[in-house]
Amino acid sequence: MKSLTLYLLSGPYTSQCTDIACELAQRALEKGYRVNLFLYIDGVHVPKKGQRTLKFPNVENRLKKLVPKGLSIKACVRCASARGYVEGEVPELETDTFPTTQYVEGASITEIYAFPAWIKESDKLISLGG
Amino acid sequence: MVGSVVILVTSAPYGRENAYGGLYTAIASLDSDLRTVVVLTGDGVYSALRGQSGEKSLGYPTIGDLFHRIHPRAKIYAESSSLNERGLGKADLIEIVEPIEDRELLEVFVKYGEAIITY
Repeated sequence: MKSLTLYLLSGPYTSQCTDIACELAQRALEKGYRVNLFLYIDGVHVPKKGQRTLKFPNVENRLKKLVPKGLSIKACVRCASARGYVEGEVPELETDTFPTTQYVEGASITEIYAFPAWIKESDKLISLGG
Repeated sequence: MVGSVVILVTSAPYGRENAYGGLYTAIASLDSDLRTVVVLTGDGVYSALRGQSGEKSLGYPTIGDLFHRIHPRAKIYAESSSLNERGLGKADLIEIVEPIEDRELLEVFVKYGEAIITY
């Protein structure tokens, strides 16, 4: 199975990058790719629960549809911690992820080393929001 | 599979988090045995200036210190034309950062640019 990693550095709504990432993820999943989404810098805001939009497409709802189709989502712990998403000092033993109750199901917080690991197993990397 | 990465820093340090993010990613990529090159272009060349003291003036980490966690495992280049446009030269840079001409830079992208990440 081919693998695509998307790397998102900007938050939702301030630009179209998150919507583009979701669209790319959806299309790649439909074509049978394994798709990873790594969130960095303000990208770590993307999977926050409780988003309410009046006019713009709701990113949270979109992620909730993509995760069951196979989208993997990880956020950098340094960036997520600085922005208040990490609720504990150490990673959980079983999953090696840092605790949070603020993200949609399927999104987790990890060391940045998860990103180069995904790069190495990917056929393509697309970076957005830099 | 992707085996090499170019970290392309286009933003000046301190005003945005991007340059830090690029250098931290470069360190993680090297630790993960990815062939990695750092290229500073546009306002990104300001990251390589000598004599920075982010801690004293802003309370931010001095970005130049991160270069010493990257070099000599990876090359760090500053695009010559970006330096020239800003009135900067090799003497203004941290000694481990190498100016690079556009033609040579193209070769770096061809050799290492299986993935190119812009910050």
